[in-house]
Amino acid sequence: MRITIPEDFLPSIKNKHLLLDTCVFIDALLNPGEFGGLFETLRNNGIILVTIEPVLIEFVQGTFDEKKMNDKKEFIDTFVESYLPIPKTLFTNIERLLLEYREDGKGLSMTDLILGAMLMQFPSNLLLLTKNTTEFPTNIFTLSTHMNLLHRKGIHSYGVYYYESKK
Amino acid sequence: MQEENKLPVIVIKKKIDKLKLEKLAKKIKKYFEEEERYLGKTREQNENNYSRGFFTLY
Repeated sequence: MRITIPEDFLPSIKNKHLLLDTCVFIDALLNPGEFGGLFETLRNNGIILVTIEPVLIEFVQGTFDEKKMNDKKEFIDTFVESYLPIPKTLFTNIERLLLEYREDGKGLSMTDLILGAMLMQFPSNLLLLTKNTTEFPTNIFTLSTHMNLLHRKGIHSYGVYYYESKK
Repeated sequence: MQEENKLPVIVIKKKIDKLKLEKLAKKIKKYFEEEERYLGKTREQNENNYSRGFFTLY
């Protein structure tokens, strides 16, 4: 597998906080060499890798015992700098977001709603890296850049999104 | 909404330990495989329970 990034990828996210979705952890698990290299490049460009606890919960749910759960957390800790605190206004933001999603909001997972609400809380400063591109429509979020995973069979795309305050 | 819209200041401390990442990835992949097998078995058991018929259970 190879990760490809366009020329604008690093300049678009340089010195910003990059919020990682669960799919990043899964792909990093399956391709640790390539993702290790990507994380190092991001770090060297001042990009701060963060996540939130609901994403961690998605990653660890179904774990058999405490030792295995701690191993999963340790895996994330090798590249995530910090967990962003969940703001008090989160559910207010989720409601506002659902009004923007309208009928597209049906079937969204709670984690995706929380991720969207986090982007809303920190407009233009917090970016989200996710493969769930159908859950972050561009009439609500701005697609800043993208990257591709070139597999032997198939190409998977990640989008980098942020939320712009609407006036 | 106006309060709390500043991201916390985070200093990049971590050096990416690629060897550790790969070692942990190998271990955790096996955990996910175990979990999938368990999930597969549970689904099968639930299907078998229902196929005996709801009324025969109660």
